[in-house]
Amino acid sequence: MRQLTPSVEDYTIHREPFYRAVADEIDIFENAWKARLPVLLKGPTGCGKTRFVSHMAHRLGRPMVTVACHEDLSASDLLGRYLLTGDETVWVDGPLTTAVRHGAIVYLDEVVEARKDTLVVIHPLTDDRRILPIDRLATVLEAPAEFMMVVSYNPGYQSVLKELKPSTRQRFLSVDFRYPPPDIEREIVQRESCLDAERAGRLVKIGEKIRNLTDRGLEEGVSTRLLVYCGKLLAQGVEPRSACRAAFTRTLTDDRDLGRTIDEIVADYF
Amino acid sequence: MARRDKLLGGAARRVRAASTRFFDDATVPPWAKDLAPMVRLARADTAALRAWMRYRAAIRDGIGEAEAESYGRLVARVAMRDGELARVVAVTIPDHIARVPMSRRGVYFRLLEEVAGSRPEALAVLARTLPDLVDTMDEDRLRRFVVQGVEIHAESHQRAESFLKKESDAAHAAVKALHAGVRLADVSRTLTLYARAHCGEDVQVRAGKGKAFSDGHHVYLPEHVEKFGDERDFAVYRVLTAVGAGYLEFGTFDLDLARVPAPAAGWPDAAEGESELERYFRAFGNRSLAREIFQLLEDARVEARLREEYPGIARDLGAVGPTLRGQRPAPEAPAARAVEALAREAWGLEPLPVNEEIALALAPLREALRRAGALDVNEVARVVSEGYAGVEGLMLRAKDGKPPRSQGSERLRMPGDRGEPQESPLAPPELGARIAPEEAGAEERQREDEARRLREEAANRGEQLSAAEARERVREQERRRRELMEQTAYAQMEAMLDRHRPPGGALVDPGAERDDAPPAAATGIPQDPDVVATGRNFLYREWDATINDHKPRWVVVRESRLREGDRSFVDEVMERERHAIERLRRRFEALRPEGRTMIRGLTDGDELDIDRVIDGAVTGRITGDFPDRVYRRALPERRDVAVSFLLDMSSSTNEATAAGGQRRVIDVEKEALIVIAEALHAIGDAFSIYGFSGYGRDHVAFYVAKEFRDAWDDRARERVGRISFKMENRDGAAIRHATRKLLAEPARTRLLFLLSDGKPLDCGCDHYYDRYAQEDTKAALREARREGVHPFCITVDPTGPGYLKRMYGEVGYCVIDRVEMLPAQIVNVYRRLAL
Repeated sequence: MRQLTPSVEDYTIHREPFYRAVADEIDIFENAWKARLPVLLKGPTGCGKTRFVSHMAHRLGRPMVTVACHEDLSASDLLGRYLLTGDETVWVDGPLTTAVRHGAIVYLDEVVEARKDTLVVIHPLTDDRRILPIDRLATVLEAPAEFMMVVSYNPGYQSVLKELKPSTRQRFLSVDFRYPPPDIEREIVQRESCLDAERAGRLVKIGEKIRNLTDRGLEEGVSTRLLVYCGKLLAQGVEPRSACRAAFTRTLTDDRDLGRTIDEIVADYF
Repeated sequence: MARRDKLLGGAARRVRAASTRFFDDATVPPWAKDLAPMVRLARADTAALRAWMRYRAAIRDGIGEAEAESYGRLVARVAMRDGELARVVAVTIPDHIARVPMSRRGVYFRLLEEVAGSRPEALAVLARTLPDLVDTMDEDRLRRFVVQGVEIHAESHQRAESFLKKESDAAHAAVKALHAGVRLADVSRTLTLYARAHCGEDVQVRAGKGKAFSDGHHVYLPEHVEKFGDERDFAVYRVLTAVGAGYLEFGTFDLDLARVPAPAAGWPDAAEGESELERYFRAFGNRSLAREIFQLLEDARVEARLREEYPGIARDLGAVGPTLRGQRPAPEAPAARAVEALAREAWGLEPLPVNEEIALALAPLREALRRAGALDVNEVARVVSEGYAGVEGLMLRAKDGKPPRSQGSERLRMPGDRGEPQESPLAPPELGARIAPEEAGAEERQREDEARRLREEAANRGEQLSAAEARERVREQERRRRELMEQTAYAQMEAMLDRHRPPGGALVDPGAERDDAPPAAATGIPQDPDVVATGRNFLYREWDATINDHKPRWVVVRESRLREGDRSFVDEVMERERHAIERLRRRFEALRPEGRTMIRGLTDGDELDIDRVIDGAVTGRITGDFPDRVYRRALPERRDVAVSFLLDMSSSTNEATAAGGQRRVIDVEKEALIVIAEALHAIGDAFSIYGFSGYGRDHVAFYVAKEFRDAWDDRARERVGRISFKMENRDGAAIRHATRKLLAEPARTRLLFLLSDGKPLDCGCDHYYDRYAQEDTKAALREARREGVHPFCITVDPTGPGYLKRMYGEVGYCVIDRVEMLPAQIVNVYRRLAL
């Protein structure tokens, strides 16, 4: 019976993804990798978690396998399954198995969205055994030294029902991600959107003011990603207030008063 | 008629003769001047004459001569058309004149006289409603508005009254149409959020009378701005808000006198609840002068920072500033001139030439103005404290050396002017927010005390705690305390519920008797301005414990619908409880089934899970072992709950809550209703909100704020805001009616929440109190239970737990002794019963 594993080429990162360090996260991650420890990235959406992982994967010279977690994710989706092709039965590796085989970095994004009974599959990989039992194949894979498990989640607006169990949480080292401080954020926006420093600075200030409204009407503040999107529009010559409306006002809220407030904040700067 | 004329004409002549005999011209009594109108009145209606004579003196002595004269003229004018009406007018107007602000009395009487000429029947209504209107618009607009109202009066008195009280939709539309500018009510929420975005603190924008000012926690803005007639009006609001928020953003209220060099006498000791700014001002002999100079410099500082931070505000200032700060006076008195010169420099206007003496006094202040943007508030305080002596010197010297009496007298107050109206030496510009720490309320002062205490403690420990940090800590403490209180509330609630679970299962309906009563004739009950009567009346029976039987068709319940119209209460609650509402909404949403919830991997269920079947088939082929967990079941997706809230609106709810403070029971109940309604709206359950009061068994008033079919929109919120205390409460009948309405709503689970103070009491007639009332209430609840409605009673008062158990014990109930917990408690009950 054949076994298929996706090729490592599919997951290799060729060009360095730009990432600007904020604190000691690069250091911690690198050392965690060397010590073969898994890492949990916590933070709001759009503040650089995924970018960070791909940057580190490139830096450490490893391929990166990403899994977007959701309610319907099953253990087979992670591990692999038998497929019938004509008369033949083939086993195809899932992303987790692929990553283990190739010694890659596997990144489970929004891990809390997956069901708990699915997640227990990763437990053996996150303690010192670093093994992946695959019942269906009646094998146990041992993860090579270069393998690393990384997960992320957004603690901001989790509903009461969806929380990471302590038994899962405590298997990871945690790194906090926040919106970067203003001057670093400006650099990021400048670089990613190819916008001049002055206007990038204004966008960052707008972001700051809008973030003051979190919990007073806005569920979540403006993400760095949105600032970059807006910057890209500006760099292409879109009229500033119009660009900000598309990137901020309409994205963040449907409330009319809140929307108007955001427009006024934009008008403060453009 | 002719005879009376002759008699009165004779009387008038005699009066006249008497007046010339006993008084010389200089002392002719005022009323003698009004002989002509007097005679006119006398001809028309003697009662009117009497009333006029009685009130005229009172008005003259109590209010003013001019008003008394206007009054007389008005009454006489009406008398020309209709004597009876003149009497009504003569009697009603005096009550209302006092309510009109002095500056607007001329307008008041002018309008009344005009209406007296065109449509005198509307005078009574107008006299009553105009005092509240007269301050809100300029004369021209007001006239147009009144004309509209008077026209409506021809068709319907009620509608006209509602229009003139600015209650009806037509009134709102008219006001809006009359104003080209911007009304604060339309933009206050946006401005509040805008202020918060700027300074990151919990600031609120509110309407204030007159000039804009800020007390460190609120920004008070004028109710409308209509200077330009285009979007610049909104720009004015923006600038005012930015300045108000700027005081917080740039540290005006973080003044720390420990960092400001003290004057010779030192800084005065801090009084309780006093802010640092107030303490600072107290150190000066002439407080008004010191405040004015401080305001100028501090404004310059804040404005410089604003311009730097927000290019948009700089732009707005350029667009609206010159117009609003334009016309300046040129006072002669030295100190006033000095302050005016400083002001002009601060605002970038044409400079005012000053003599050498003044220039010398102003030098340090001017120098600080130039560097304003680079200073902090403590430095400004220092500069002002040093420069004050120079300017005060100007004033005192002038007084000693025969002050030049030119343009009006010196308007500066003398020392010790606490409590007197703050008259400023400066003609106030229309663009500018005043710093007014004295306006802060009790709550804020407590926070100031707390912050001061924290700083002292830190100082004792040898640490440095800045004013801003201390205030931030106090806010943090408050937040934590609130969260803790809510958590305790939840815990208590759950314990309570465990003891009082409603019995499961519905019993058979024995077919209670109820009828639709034919509309009863009006019973002479005074019009309730809060409602629109629906004319639907219902007869219900009442349980009599003394005979152990029902009295059929005993009580008439009259249903009516609440009007809309009070947004301010609702807006305030929504703002204040924003956190709580969001949290509750989230909690509810989390428990709401999203579409279809599936339980998978079952050995038996509604349907096969295809994915698992395939997986299983394949695996089975290989391993020979076919898994059996291939079924799944869908959970029911729709919630099927209807809930009614029945609110006791009796006069006892007007009392303050047991916790004290200014909150009344009814306010807390309304607040709780709004909070729970928001949460229910989020989860999509059908709900209705009713209130009840009335008096006597012939008139139990049942108020509808929201029916099941009504949307939970702004109008519904306003209707809830309308709820106020009324009269008595005959709980039994109200419960029966609410039950009936609830049963008409199709749903699997029906809940009835009764919010009351636990005392059914109707003193209107017969003996609805104590045991009788309690037994009837209990019976009504039991009947509801039998029909399949689950009642739950929440009592907002701790007095009397004994009888509560007797009354409510068969159904669920709970007592809350801290009413702030009411919103959280209702939600928890709901969760337990319905989810």
